[in-house]
Amino acid sequence: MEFLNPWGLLGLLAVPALVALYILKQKHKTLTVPSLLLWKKTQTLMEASTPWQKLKKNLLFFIQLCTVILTVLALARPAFSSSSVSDEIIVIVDSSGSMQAKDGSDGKTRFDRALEEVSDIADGMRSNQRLTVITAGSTVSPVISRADSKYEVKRALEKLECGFSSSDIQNAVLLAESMSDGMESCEIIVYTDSELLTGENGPTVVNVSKSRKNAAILSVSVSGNMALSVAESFGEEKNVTLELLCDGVLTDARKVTLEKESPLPVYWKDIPAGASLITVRIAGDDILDADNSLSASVGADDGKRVLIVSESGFFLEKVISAVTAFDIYKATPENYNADGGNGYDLCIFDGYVPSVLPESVPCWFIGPEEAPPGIVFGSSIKGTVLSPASSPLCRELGEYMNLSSVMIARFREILSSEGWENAFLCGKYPTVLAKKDGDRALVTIAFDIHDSNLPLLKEFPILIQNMVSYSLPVMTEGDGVYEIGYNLTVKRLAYSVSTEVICPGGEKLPLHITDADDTVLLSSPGVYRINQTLERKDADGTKRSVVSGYVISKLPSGESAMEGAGILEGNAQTEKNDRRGRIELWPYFAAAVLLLLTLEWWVYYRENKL
Amino acid sequence: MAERIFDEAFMKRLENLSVRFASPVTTSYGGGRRSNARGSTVEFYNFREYNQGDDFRRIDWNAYGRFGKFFIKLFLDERQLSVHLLADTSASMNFGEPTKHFAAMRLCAAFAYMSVRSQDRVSVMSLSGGGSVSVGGSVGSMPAVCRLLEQLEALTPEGETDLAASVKSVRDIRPGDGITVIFSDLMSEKGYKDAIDYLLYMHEQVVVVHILSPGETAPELEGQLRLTDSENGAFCELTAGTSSLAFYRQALDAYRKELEEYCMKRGVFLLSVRSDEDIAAILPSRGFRAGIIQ
Repeated sequence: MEFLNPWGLLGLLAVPALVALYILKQKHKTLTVPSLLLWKKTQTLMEASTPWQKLKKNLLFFIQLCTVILTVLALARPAFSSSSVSDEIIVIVDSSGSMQAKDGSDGKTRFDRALEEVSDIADGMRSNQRLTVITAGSTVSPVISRADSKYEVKRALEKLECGFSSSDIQNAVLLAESMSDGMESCEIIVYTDSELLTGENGPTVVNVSKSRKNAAILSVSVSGNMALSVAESFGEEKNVTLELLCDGVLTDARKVTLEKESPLPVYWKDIPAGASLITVRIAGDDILDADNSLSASVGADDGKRVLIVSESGFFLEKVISAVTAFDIYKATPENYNADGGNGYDLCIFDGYVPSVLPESVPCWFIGPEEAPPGIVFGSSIKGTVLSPASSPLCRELGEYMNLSSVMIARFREILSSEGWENAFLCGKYPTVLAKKDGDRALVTIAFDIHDSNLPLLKEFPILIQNMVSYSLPVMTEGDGVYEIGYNLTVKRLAYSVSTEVICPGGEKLPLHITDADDTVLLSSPGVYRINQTLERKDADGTKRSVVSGYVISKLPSGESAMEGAGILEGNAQTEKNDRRGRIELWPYFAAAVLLLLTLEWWVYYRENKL
Repeated sequence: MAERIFDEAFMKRLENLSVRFASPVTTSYGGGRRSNARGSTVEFYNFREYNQGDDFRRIDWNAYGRFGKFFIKLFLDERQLSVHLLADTSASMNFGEPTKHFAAMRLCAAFAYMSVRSQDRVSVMSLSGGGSVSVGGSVGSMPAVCRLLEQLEALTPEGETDLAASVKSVRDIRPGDGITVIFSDLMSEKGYKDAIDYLLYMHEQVVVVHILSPGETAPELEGQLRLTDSENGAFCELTAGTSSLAFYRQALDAYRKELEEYCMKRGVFLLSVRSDEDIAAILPSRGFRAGIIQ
């Protein structure tokens, strides 16, 4: 046993002081009696009858003496050193989303419990002991390395926050094992809620989970005025109330029974027109709140306008309406005036090139009689199959296409195409070209689609989709729903001058994507709103508009199910073991002092009948 | 004015009482007590054959007429009893209301009065500090009793008493010459047994008047106390309460029982008196039952 604060033993000087005080403070009422003969016999009888009488007389003194001694011992901080605990301890704390589950009766999360246990280890560190803490979330990061001060460890622990992503325990263990190389005695302890397979060798796994009874919204999707949500309960059958919110307004609610481990689809009808964001949530308490709510954005393409200038643009109209949700407007070359294209998001000129192109609007020229600006047409040439040009543009426009299946009867020879980039060739002649005119995209197809088999092929809608993506890039890829931890690439829209991302917590992140795409790490569940401010010039001057998009960030499904994160060799530990290298005794002494003080009060009360 | 130990009313209540002495008196002075000696009283004792030198006047001629021999009638003689009154005047007697000392002096006066009325000779000794002091000398008449009373009233209790040493220091006691009465609380560290044994050894009829104050028979104490002995200044500390007083009563009862048994086994007469009791009422009642008063 050692004393961590030996100066505290100076308090033992209070013992003789107490004895002196006790001797001085004794006040007996002096009474003269004829003789002590009978009183001495009385004393003898009392002592014989109650052996503790003498002690009882001084009971208060002994209690106070014990109180002083125990207080001094508590101040001196006596401690036992445990030789069974390694000199080096590496602690891995799982910081995945499921660690935020409040599955205990104390209202603490699993992560909090894990940190408390680490804090206990830090409290019991010996002088020659070192502690390393590693968090295992979406990334593995050492929090503190080989700290020998519990205060240093605690300061680091206070800054730790639990994430929402899945955890990478295996990599964390690999890192810990690498760190432990060369150490004489090192113990690796993993605090996690994952059900890991364990073995004889390897780290000690401490499972901090107490329950996996969790309900979650797994997915939400919207189509037209219908929405579909899928909910599931893990660990138990559960009756829940599902609520539907449209743009934050409670619109509908259902009571459903979620069977154990059985996803339940729930259809929601009559989604209000114009709603941009719907949210389905589970009302009531649940051990994990992060997966109780999930949103879906209503089509991002909705509201965009496309103008088709064509004599007979039947195929184009059908294919565009099939691959997009654009509002389609049609015009003929005759009734198309000079500024007729302004105000649209895309202008498609089929067999026609206007004398003046609309300002700041992407334009497609399909089988034009006259050459678009920058292109010089030659004669009409008999065509063959399409082939890719060796340019990046080909990969962008020809993605997922089998060009060899596209046959062209004839096309216009292009003699000169300054500033244009070839996408597809027919033989050695370019047939599909595109270029960026500032922020505006221009695409030229040098053949009439009626002179090809494109309308009959699946490549036709693919080509149109690729052209739409090239001309009207969207801010994000995919369906807009991502798991937490995903690095979302935000693309710059045409004419965008500024971009900001509003996180679920309301925090605004300005992005600098003027020159290149930027990424946002989705770190918390909820809806990320991306606003891009567009600045377009037309005949009336410069117009500013804001285009908003939603990105839904959700908890990884494994975290909701609270399944094991992987397989790890180690020693399973279900009960809390004492891993303190040094066990301090002062709390026990302090508790004894409190008890003694209570006892002293009771004795004093009894003797003096307060 | 302080209450007197002996007044007229008290005297009147004692007029018909006398101290009982069980065995014949062996002293040589004439008095009012029957003795084994043959004397000239009217109380017939026995016949004895005439011997040469006997007084002719005592020959019983009627017996000579019947038996033809000379017989002499013998009569009992009455002698004077020596009454020794030993009063403890230690400091411990100065407790109670009235004090034990007052009760002792009152009893002492009563015994002296009763004895003188019975033609006994009284000597009063004050026992204190291991010695004894004669008070009033040898008293055999009423005027001397009156002087004795004044001297008794002048006595003050003080000092420590070694009862045995004090009793042994009394020189007036001669073997078998009478009765010795001890007035004391018997609260002596060295005990009372040696004193009584000594008196028995001296063939005295011993009477012990054990006097306690109300504060000793039923003390009313409470709290943390330092009790100081009035005689030697010794002290002891105790917490007085219900339990401790119960133990005190237990100790007192045991002490009294031991005293009674001790006295009974040795033929010592014992009279227990509380200082606040009516002395004149006690003597004809409890004193009679105890065989001390007749």
